[in-house]
Parts: sequence; C-alpha cells; structure tokens
Amino acid sequence: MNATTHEVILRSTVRLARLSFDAAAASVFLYDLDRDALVFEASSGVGEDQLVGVAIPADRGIAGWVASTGEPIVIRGVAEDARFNRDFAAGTGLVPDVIMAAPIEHEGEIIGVLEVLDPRLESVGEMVAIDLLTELAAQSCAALSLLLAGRRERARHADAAGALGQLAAILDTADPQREAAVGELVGALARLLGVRCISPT
Amino acid sequence: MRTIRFAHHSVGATVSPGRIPAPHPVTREWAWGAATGRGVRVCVVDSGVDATHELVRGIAGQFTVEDGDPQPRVVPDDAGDVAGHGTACAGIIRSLAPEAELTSVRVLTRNLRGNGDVLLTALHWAVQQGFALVNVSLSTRREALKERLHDLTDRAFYDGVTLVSAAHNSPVVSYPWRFPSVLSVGSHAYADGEYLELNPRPPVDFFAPGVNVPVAWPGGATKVVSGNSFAAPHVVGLCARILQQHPEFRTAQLRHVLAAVSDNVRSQP
Repeated sequence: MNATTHEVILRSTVRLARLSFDAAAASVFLYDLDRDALVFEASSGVGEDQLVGVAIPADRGIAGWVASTGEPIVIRGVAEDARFNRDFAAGTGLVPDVIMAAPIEHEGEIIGVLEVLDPRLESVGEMVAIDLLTELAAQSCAALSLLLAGRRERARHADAAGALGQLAAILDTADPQREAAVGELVGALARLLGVRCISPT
Repeated sequence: MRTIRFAHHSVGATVSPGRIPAPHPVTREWAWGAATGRGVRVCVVDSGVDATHELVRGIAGQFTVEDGDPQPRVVPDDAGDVAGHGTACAGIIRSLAPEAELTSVRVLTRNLRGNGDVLLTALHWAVQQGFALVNVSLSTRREALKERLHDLTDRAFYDGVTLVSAAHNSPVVSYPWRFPSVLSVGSHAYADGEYLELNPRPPVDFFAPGVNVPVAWPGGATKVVSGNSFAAPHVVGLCARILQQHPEFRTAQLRHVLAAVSDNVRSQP
C-alpha cells in the first residue's frame, strides 16, 4: 500500500464515520511521535480539510484525553466551552454541541483519535454509538499505522546528516573499480548487524 | 448476527440476596445515613481539576507527574484541568460526598508512550499518601505494565487504600479495573446518582450512572457526558459516605456493603 492508498482510507474513514451518525462532520487526528502532538489529518463535512496539518498538544483537550487514556467518550454542551470555541472549532466554521471521540489503536498503541461532531445519537443511543465508533476506528487502524510508519521511514531517508544518508552518499560515489572494496564493506555491515549477506549466484 | 453494544454496561440483570454475606436487606441508613464524606481523603488521578468550579468547591491539593532521574516523580501543579475530564469526575464525587477532601494528580502528558509510567507513578504516590479512596477513570492496555500495576493494586488493597476504577468503554482487556483488588465500575443509564447495580457477572463489580451524566467542566461550565469514566466517581462518592459512617472499613468491606445496598439485589418473582 502506498501513501495515496492510505490517504484514501483515511478519507473513507471520516466519511463513513460522518455518514454513520448523520453528523455535521468527522475528523481524524494522528499522533506525531516526533512532535508529541496530535495532527489533524482529514475531515468530512462542515469545514472539510480546513485544518489539515494543524497540530495540537497531545496533553490538551478532549482529543488529548482520548489519546492518552484510550477511552472513547461522548460530550454534550461543547459549544458552551469558551476555550474550545476560541482555540480550534471556530477555525473550522463549525462549533459543535456534541463531540464523540474514540481512540485509534494498533497493536496496543494509540496512534490517533477519530472524532464525530454533532452526531445524531437519538436513534441508536450513546452506548451503541460509542461501540460503533470504536469499531470504525479499529477498522481503519491498520492502514493508518502503515501510513505513519511510511512517513517515519521517509523522514529518516530525508535526513541527509543521518547515518543512512551519509552511507547512501558514500555509495553514490562508488564506481566499478571499487567493487571489491564495497563488497568488503557490505560483508562487514552484514556481520555487524547480524544479517545474512545475499550474494548473486 | 452480531449485536453491537457498549462494553461493560448494565443489561438490567438482578442478583439473588443469597450472594450477600449478611442479613438482607442491609439498609442505606445503616450504610451511610446522613454522611457527607466528611474527613474522607479522596485522590482523583485524571486530567487535573478546576478547583474554582462551583460544583467542585475547592480541593486540598493539586499535583502532577514530571520526568525525574531516575524515575518520574509527583510534584505540585498549577495547570488546573487540561482536558475537562478530571473536573467532571471531581464534581460527581462532590455531588454525592460534598464534604470529602479531594486531591488531584494530573497524569495527562504530551508523550503518549510515557503515560504508563506516569500512571504507575501517580498511583504509587496515592498509595504512599494513604488516601482512603482513589478515583481511576482510566486504564492501560499495555501488557508490559500489567505485573507492576497488579503488584501496586495489591499493595493498595493491603494498605487500606481503595482504588475505584472505570471499566474500559470498549470490549477490551485493560488494567487496573480487571484486578479483583480494585472496585471496578461500568455504566447503567438511570438518571439517579445513587442508583447502584451489582454485576452478577464480573470482572466489572458495579454499575453506576454513565450515560448522559450532567457534570462540571472547567471555566464554570457544565456538560452532559457519557462513558464509564463517569460511573466510577459515583461509586467513589458513595464509598466516601460509607467510610465516614464506618471509618474502619477497607476495600473488602466496601465491596460487601455496596453489594448489599445495590438496587438490583432482589429475589426473582
């Protein structure tokens, strides 16, 4: 799966979450390990994608609490919270009254939060709604986990000053006359890292 | 067809009085009477507490966990409530035990991966401080923490510190609520803060209000919330009342008394 595929899944997840609850909007935050922040990745509905890329501290707000504890939650009366209006929601063009949020977990690790804004809960009830949202989060978690891993890998390759970057730069200078020397280097690396050196037959 | 349902909530089952190790009924008048939780020390391990909220009405101390060398440590905190959840829990406890002495330990930190150690540090501190009751409306799924958490909850049990822990909202295994040394709480949907159910099928011990619960929220606001997190502080409030009335009780006695006064303990017709 490539990054584009992951993003399609991300978009599908938020759209499915919004449609499932006839909600005004749904959005996904993913945890950015390097920044210790929750990053707004995608949304469906009112204010769609206006805040993509915005990062919020992982120890703040409802999304932070859900990400920290792994517990889903429903909160009504959010519109009355002045802090909420000012800091985030107003920027999306939607100040919701109800927020339902569930953690996105992969192999015991929380990688993000799935939020639904102004869901209609009357027909299903809060208990069923929380469970349904949790299932939606679980369904998307494997793909989202791969998306994050891919980003970390690309970030590592992009670091020219890092060890892998330096090695790649050295190998770029190697011409056919240095085949033997490079072979010795690869053998030494294989022994150092404890991996089998695969030689062409 | 699979029936989707909220995890760890009441299905309305009754429990036979034969489960109660006492002449039945045990009255609430005997259990707590007019007690208000006066003098009972309660620790809220959560997102911090807004002590100025009129439904919280002050707390005895606010702390958090910070990185330390070699271990994280508990230090005084002035950040208040960074998410709202802790204020909600504190307000619920106050609604049932208005004169209990509340202390907050904030365990929300930016580094999600460090949270397990933060929770352990906070709980260890609460046990060391000898709080009568600790509200733990959160849990961890990390197996690596299970053994240390288990040892810690056992120690709390033997030291007379009662941990009241919310069951996870999803059908997953997490801790510490699954340990028998803690009182674990799931949700029912009755809008009565004193309505309590004994679960005939543990590991969840009791069901308390957890659906559409009116709560305090930072900044003087109120909200209506749902989740097992909000069921646990109801049980903490009732326990604070019982401990004022019966100060020598510990976790085992609290469990028995709560079971005996539960609203769903009755003979089947």
